[in-house]
Amino acid sequence: MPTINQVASKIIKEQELVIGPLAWSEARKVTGLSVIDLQAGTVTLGSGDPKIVVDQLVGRYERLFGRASHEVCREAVATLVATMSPAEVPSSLR
Amino acid sequence: MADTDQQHFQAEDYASELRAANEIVYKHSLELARLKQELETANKQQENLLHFISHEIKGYLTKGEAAFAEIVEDTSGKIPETIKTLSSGALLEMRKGVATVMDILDASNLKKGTVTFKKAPLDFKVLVTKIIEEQRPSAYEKHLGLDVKMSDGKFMMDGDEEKLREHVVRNLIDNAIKYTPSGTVHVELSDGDGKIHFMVEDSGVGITPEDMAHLFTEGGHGKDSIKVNVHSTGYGLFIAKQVVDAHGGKIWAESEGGGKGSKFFIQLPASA
Repeated sequence: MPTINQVASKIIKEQELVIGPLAWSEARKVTGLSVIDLQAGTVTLGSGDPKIVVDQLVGRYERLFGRASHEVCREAVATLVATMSPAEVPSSLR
Repeated sequence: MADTDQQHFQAEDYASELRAANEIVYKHSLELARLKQELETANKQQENLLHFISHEIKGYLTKGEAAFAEIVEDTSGKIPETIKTLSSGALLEMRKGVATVMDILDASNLKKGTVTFKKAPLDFKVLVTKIIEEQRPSAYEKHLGLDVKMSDGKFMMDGDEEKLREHVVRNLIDNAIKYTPSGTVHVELSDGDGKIHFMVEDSGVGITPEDMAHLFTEGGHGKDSIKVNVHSTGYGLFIAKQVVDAHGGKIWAESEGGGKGSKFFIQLPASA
């Protein structure tokens, strides 16, 4: 089963395909999200509720780039989210 | 309305315009990213298809080649000379076909990274001498001079003899002969600085700056080269570069332009 860290990582990687390295610099600004390995594209969601951190990540992209970016986030993790229990899924990705 | 309020509204307007502009740029980038992905998938599929087709055709051609070779080499006296003559021509064409398909397959395999290099000690001079002797009749047929200068001694290196011979040395000398309508092809072999230096110079069709930019890329034959050699696949120099690179060497070309001949240089590390 995918972890919430993998969900966040997948979102950033997908955004990277569209906006390039800016996706990572914006992700770093989200409180509670730390980039472990930029090359491998791994992140960790630290203190607090990780679902809220993912919501903030999605929200950050949406504030900057509009609704289309929210859709990109949702599509990127659709298959991952499908295997998670509903309680684990961040509200922005439902 | 107070000035500060007006400035505040203006700032909000700008921010809103900026967000809208960001969104537009994002949508365009998204479209480009999706198109890029589609293109990459299509390229991959095309590459696989090309590889499959080439592999299949190579199989058919090789069987035909073997059959024609049997007829040509028959000593029983049962096959009429006319059939033998026809078969000899067909065998030659078949071999050209196999070589073309092999070029495409080799390029595809090099791109995929599925080519293995069997490196062993070899004398590069022996390899070059052999190819020159094999290519001399082609130069003679075209009334071209073939001038060879080689320094004394052995030119030892570690390399894949077959790949260096067929894809690098033969390719460069063969190209020089093909693309030179009249004049002389010069071949030089020397050593220095721990390297083997190989050069092929011709007085042929030359290379325009435009063609030079993609000379060693896949399918990168020159704009006019196809007029001289209609059978050019454009993979020869791409493969040559991959082979030279795999040996830790360098390959490059120089030309003063179209119609002004060209020089191809290779540097390969010599054995210590």
